[in-house]
Amino acid sequence: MWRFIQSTNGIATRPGQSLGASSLLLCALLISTGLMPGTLRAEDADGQTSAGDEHTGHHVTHDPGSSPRFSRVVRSYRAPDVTLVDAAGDPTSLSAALRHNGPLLLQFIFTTCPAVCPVLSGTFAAAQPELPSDTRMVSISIDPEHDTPSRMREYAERFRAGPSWLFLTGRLEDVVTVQKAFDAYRGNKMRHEPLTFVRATQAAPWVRLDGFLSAEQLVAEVRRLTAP
Amino acid sequence: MSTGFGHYGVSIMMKGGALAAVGLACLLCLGVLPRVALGQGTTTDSEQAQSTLQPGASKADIAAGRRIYERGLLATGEPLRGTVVGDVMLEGAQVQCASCHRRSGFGTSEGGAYVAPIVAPWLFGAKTPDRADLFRKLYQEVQPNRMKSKVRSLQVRTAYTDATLATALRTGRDNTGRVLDPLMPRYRLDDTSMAQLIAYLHTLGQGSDPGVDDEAIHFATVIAGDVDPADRQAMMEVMEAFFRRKNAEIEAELQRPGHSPYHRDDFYRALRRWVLHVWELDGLPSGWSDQLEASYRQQPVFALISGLGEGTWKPVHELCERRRVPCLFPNTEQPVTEVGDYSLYLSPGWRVEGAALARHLSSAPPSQIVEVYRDQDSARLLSQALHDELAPAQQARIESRVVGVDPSLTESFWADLLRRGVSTTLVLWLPEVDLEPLSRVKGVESISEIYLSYRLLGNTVPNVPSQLAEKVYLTYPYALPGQEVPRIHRVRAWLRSRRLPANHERLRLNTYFALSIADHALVHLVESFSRDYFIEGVEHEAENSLNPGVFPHLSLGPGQRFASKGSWVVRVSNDGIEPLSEWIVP
Repeated sequence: MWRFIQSTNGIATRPGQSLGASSLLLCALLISTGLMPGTLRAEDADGQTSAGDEHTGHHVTHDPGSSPRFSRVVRSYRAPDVTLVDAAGDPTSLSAALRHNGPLLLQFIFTTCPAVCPVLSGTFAAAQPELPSDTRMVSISIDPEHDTPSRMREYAERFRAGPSWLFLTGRLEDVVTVQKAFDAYRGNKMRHEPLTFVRATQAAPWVRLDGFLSAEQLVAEVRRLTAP
Repeated sequence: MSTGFGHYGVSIMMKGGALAAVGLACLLCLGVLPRVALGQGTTTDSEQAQSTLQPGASKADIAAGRRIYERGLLATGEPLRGTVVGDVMLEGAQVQCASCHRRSGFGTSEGGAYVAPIVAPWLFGAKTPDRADLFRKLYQEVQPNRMKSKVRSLQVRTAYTDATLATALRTGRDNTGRVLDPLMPRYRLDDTSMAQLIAYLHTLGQGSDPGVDDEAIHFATVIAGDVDPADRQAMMEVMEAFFRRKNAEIEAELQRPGHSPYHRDDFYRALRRWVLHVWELDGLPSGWSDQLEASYRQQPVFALISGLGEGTWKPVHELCERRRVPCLFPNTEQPVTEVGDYSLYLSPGWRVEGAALARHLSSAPPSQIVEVYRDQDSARLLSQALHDELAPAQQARIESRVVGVDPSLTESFWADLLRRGVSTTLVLWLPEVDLEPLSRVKGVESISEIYLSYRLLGNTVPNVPSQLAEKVYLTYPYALPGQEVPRIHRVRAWLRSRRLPANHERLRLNTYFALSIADHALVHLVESFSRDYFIEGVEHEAENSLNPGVFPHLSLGPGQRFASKGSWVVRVSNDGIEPLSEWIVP
């Protein structure tokens, strides 16, 4: 679904702006023809088109501020039954890590990631004190052969991770299975995408946030999902 | 010594120091290799290349700027700080320039994020469209479409001045008034630190690194120590065939300037003939460093590719780090374990097997382990890794026996060992010849399991005497038989089509891998012949589908230096081997 949103970016949407009627019509058509399995509903898309600024490689937002953009879709994912390893080196089943009846945030990272992960994890770190107290955060390495538990511990310390922020690594094939279950596997770790998955409760569907969020935006997403 | 080019660009540095020219520089003689115009394609040392100082900047300023750029540390000792995505403050290594723009300054692409160059010619020169560079980004980067849409957007701008660059770094607004990507940190930098950083940026990416001139790019391969001549031949056959093929392609391109099909004309300026130098090291390893320096001084090379070593590889590693020469994937079992900037290895060698076995033994600790190894480098490294990785409680349970290199162990040796009450686990870093007398000793049935190294056995599965059947296990760091990656068939076909024998296959495949990944990384440079950029390309490419299948999985990342990271423990059965453990990454 989010790919569809990206492909419609020729008609730029603003943050908070809903998709145009023609897009919704096409969405409905695709859903009715079964071309969009698993998509429950599409919310707003923030993925504006932008002119690339090649000289430094930093693209230009239409908004003169520095707020990032992201897209949001609601998806249903079934976490596979795999056993990963936590930062202490102990086996941890993924289902146990995700069995949490409060807000749950999930990201895929790796510790030698040059550009994307420091920002993803930095957003978790900055949002940490502002999130509801029962929030659990999970960061899963997509480079588990390099990211040993000790390296995950160092990474966690770098971001001053609190006790409710779990860091998981494991066997390569298991981690690939997890990524595939969340439609996050792109073959080469350098192709991984800046994804954050948020779930309000254990029974709720996942909200897939594609792109970079400020800490404020992430906190707002969680609060919106958990609002009574 | 003199330099000679073979008809396929190979020169060989013979042991005595004499240089045997394999042929003539036909391409030059025939005039089919016109000089290629390249703005800064001169061969200079990095130090010389970095001597383009910003007016008024001292070397100390540049060094301080480099520390900010590469380590995120200000001269005051404070960490560099910057804000990303509006409100996320990062500091130190998280926000150092080299993290995203990389040490080379040529940028990277990751997960749809395009991080463009910030080398001096780009920052302090006007940005104009470049088709070759655009082509690379569009078609040679395996990235999602969102990145391609970014790089497709035409952008031009004027050159930065120091003042406009400082503004951009602090406020996120470039010299045309555009707002930079939220991923770009808005740095908190005092004036002194800013001046230091900009002074360093003025030096970044100026000119080509050594080993490249207008016509050729020079590579070397090192043959260190008393290697098996058959191994040497197998490696060299692959290298020569690859260089021959590569230069034939380049020659074909150069023969039709202005007429190359499709996009190729855009890369014409980047084409260089590949020249291979073979540096053979002789005598004791203590003298290798001088030999390597002499060879390097005579002909600086852009990179070392593959190579073959029996024994230590440390002098080669040190040359690579000292001279900042990328050294790609030598065939050695003794890589230097300390992570370097320029030395990339296929695997951690002997150490990974010992460490993997320790992990395996930790999963179901035996009551007693008796280790026997010969007093030689390979076995010592296996043993040391085993001991280092064993849990403290198990280290107390292991008894080690070191035996001389010659002669082979006798029945009485084993009888004596078994009389000492050995009833559990034997770890034998020994050759196969030592097993046979063990099988004849009375009481052999009391041994529960024997662990050996497949590589130390000469890359063969031992013939297990019937008395030891079902008790022999191997550390095995390769892809399991029958679990071949698809690319192995393509590489085998390539080797066959060059009429190369099918023997020494792992060595040939590994050599081919080193060459092919160097080729891929070089294409990404276009004409920016930066060694750091080259290494970054190799790190980026290693996980793509270039693995020819010796190892089950190859992967690197920024700062990672061992492409394969683990080992199996396998059971020896009548049908060969089958995995006993999972793939263990110590």
